[in-house]
Amino acid sequence: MHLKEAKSIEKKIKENGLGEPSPAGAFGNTTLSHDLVHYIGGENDTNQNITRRVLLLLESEKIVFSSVQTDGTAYNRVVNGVLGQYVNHDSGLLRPNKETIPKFLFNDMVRFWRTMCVDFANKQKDQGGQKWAMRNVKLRMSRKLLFVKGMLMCFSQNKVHTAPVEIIADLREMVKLHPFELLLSKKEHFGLEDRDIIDLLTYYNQFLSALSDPEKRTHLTNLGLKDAFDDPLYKELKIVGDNFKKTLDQIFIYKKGKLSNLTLKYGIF
Amino acid sequence: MPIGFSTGSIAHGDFKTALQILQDQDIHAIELSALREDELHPLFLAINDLDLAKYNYVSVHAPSKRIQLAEKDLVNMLVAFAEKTWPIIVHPDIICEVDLWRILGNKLCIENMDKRKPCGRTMLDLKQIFNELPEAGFCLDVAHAKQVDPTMTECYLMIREFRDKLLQLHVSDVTTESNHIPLNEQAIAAYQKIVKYLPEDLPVILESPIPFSVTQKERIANEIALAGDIFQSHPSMSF
Repeated sequence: MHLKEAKSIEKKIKENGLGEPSPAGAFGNTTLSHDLVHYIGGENDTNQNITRRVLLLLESEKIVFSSVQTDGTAYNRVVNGVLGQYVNHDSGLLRPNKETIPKFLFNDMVRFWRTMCVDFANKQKDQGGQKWAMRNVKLRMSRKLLFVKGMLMCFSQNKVHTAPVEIIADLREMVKLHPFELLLSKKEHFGLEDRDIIDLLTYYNQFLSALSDPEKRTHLTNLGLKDAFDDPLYKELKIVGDNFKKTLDQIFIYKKGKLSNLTLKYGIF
Repeated sequence: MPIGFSTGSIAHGDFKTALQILQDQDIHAIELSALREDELHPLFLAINDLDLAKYNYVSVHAPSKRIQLAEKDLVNMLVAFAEKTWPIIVHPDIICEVDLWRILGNKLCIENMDKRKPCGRTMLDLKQIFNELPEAGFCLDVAHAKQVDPTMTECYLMIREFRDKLLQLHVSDVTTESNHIPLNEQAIAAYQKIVKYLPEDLPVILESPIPFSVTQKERIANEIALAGDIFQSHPSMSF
């Protein structure tokens, strides 16, 4: 049954002229929820497994096949299962009266972000710098934004915890949200300034505008490392990426506040 | 939390025998089971003749499927139990014409379902149902909730959202084939995660099947004691 559904999804993607999933095979195949839930860390936790598991939490959406199953019960069960593993096996969360974040989850979010960065360099090496520009722009913008969501999910749980089910329920609510939705929902909690949020949205909008232009998209996709730094479009988007990073640096590192405190406390060691 | 049993777990389809067997047990809550359609009429006829004096809490489990009865006729029969002020436990997938069921008011008690069923398995599913039947109460089946989500997060969300509607608990464990079985270590560990969120006076109805055998009485008593350990020794907290 799963293969039939997978083929049906593949067919719909092609019929609608959408870009096909990663040619390296992390997506576009069926995967077992068992691996996502039970292989966190250790030898069985392959690059593909980390990617699938973390992206399940950061940018997945359920597909409902029929009117019978109305709310994605299987999807929720897997998400809860994954979050349950992170929460129930986090020794820090078991200590009474200690304010802390879910570190097991946070470390995996950081590991995934660094994995994406390392994979980017690996692809650059493997492909001799070809098609470099699009991957670079995406890494600096959309992939980074996913990591921001992961950080916010974990940092928003900085408190004294009393029950794993409460943490899992809170995290699950955040799984559903787009990174900007989460950022806005936590604005008061973290004391974020309107200016910083507007700047992030503005830069991200500039990135999306470029990618939604078919000519620009094709140009970037074909632009290699050798020619990128002299290319006007890439230079424009590099500035957007630089500004996006500077604003994130301000929010998470330089401006005094909850987020910079948490980054300092948990982000490095 | 008063502990009780479902008659169907003690004597399949024979509520009178089940009541006799349970007479000597230390329980003060009872669910009269008419899980199969042909069990409802005998229960309906016996409604005023049953010796239920020892029970502080009585509920009725409606048939889980309609085979011969029209929906209107089923609801009309259930009204008699509602008039006794007994909650009527109903599986939401037998409700087709919602308007018919409103007559039961706050005696209608919707139970969350296991993975076989097309609706009523999650908090969001139930929210849709309660939007259409706002007066209805809620029977939380912890085993069904655990089957749908072993982390018990879905169960926690159901309690958080519908705590004010809770009328009773169903307690047992459930296999992957959705068959009810007695409590075990794994189930106990799961239920301990959510017991503190439950109201202190909520009736607990055991659905652990304990059919007739020479050791039936002892096994019933053990199951009641297990349930007591889980549900009677934790202070309740509010959200």
